[in-house]
Amino acid sequence: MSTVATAGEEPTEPMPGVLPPAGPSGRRRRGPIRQAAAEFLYVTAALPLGVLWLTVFVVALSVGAGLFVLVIGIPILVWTMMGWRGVASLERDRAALVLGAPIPPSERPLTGARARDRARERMADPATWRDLGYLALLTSAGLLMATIIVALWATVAAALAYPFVRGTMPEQAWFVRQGDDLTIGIVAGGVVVGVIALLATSAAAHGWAALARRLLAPDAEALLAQRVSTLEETRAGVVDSADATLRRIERDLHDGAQHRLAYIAMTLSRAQDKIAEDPEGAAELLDGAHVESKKAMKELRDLVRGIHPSVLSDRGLDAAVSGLGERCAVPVAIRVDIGDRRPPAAVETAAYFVVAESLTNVDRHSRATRATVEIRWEGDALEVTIADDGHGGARRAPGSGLEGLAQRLEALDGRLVVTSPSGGPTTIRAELPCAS
Amino acid sequence: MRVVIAEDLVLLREGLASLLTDHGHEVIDAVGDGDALVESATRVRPDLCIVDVRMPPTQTDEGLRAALEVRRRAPEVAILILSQHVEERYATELLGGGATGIGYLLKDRIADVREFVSAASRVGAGGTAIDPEVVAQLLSRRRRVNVLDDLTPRETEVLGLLAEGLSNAAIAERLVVSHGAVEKHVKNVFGKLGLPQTDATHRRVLAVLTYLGA
Repeated sequence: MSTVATAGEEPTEPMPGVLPPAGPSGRRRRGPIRQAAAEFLYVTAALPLGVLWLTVFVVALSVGAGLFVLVIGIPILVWTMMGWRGVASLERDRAALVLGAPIPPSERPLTGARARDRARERMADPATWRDLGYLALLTSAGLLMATIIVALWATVAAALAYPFVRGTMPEQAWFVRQGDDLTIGIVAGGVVVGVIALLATSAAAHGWAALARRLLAPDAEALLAQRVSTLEETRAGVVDSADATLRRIERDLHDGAQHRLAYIAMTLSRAQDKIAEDPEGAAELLDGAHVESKKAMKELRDLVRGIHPSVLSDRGLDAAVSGLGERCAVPVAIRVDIGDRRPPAAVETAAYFVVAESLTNVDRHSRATRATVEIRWEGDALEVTIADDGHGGARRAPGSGLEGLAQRLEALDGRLVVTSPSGGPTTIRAELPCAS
Repeated sequence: MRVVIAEDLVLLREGLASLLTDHGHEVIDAVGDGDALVESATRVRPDLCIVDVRMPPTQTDEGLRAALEVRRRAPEVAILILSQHVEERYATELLGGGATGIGYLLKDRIADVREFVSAASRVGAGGTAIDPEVVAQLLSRRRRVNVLDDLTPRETEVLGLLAEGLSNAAIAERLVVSHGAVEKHVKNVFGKLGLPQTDATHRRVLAVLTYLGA
């Protein structure tokens, strides 16, 4: 199942279409002290959280179960189920403290229309019960683990604080009477326990995070279901965008070349009728028909290039994109750095249209003074970046050119990232994976 | 003949207007959408409206619906529909209200100016002009169910021309045969299809189309 490439050692969410602007989310690197602090926080937070969820869910489940015979218990149980799923998803996010990235959600896509069907689907989803299992562990073993860690650190704190608080203790206490030897011993013991606590905290944090990932990350079946759902969405998107393209072509032909040709034919026919008695009038009509025929040819040429530019198949991306840059009114600096490796035709075409649509937007809307286009390999993906210094505000609105592009890219498992704050500048980045 | 033109594409609108003016007709209004057509036609009551099917705002069958509305409000105004492609359904809807002063032609027909102008004049005078393509569609549909098997090829041809709205004289001219021969064919066609005979051109068309489209 190589298509679900994200199901590796560290799963990341296979989210189509939109990337966080900062780029692909990877493991965040922290310094050792911050890392230790994060691990400490992750483990010890299990103490209050464990107590809280234990109370909440024991109450909710007993109330729901108790009222089950009265119908009111059923919605309570359903809400409880939604509640523990919510807690599980908080736990997925919390694991980012140790793992560097949240655990991806494991739920299957819902298909039911009515709330009752959706609740039933949730109940049938094994992830729901694994979530509950995790919660049971958190409120028992997790609670115990957190208690031990907290106790260890409390011991360390007490031992290291001893020399400073010794003076405030009653003088007749036996350990106070033991003198400095014991003090040194206590502090040394505190340091040893401190090292142990540090190691134990780290081990507990990583152990618990691994456990959380095992229970909360999507299994192969859930990944497959999520993948199918994504494919269904992108397939619908492809059909929509193909349909929109055909409509646009039909409209362009109807309003353009087709009516010009009708006009030309009519004008020629009139000229024919006139030529004997009014040659000058006929010549005028012929002039008009000539002008319109040239316009019709230009319109057809533009339309054909809009469907597929022949230079792209003949000479590749570099040549085709350079042509786009030359036709853009705003000066465009173009860098195509893809060497001899030629992307698959579908990817090449998609990349071309990303540049074409973006430069059209630069031309029409951005009021930019300059723009750049960069195309290069990023591992096995083709990365296309178009930037301009215009006033920004480009968005993926439904029916917009950008939305059409995004749908086209999603169908190729690619992504479109539009970064265009109001006031500019605008950056449009497309990532197109090319499985080799 | 006083004419109102409804066509959203300026180039064609102006082309049509000068074409009709050339042939001695008076273009009293030229509009670009359905609402304007209904308003203009009911106000100035022209002899003929030439209407493009596809107009703003919907760019679908705006013109056809406006034409039907004109017909409802001012039945004496003749209507000639121009369309980029022919649809049987449009023809049926148009002819549903009677075939007096009704025309339905492909836009391409304006390429033959004389024939187009004569079709327009015929419709304006209360006659009919149905595009040969529409007639062909209807005939071929009928052929599938073998209703026209009894007709000779010549008679089928004559039936098609009848449906277009041509008079016997015009059919004779088109087929380069004598007037008497056409009358004989027409009589045979009506006899074989079981249609009642009548003189008025539009009634003949209505009868033929109703029969074919049934």
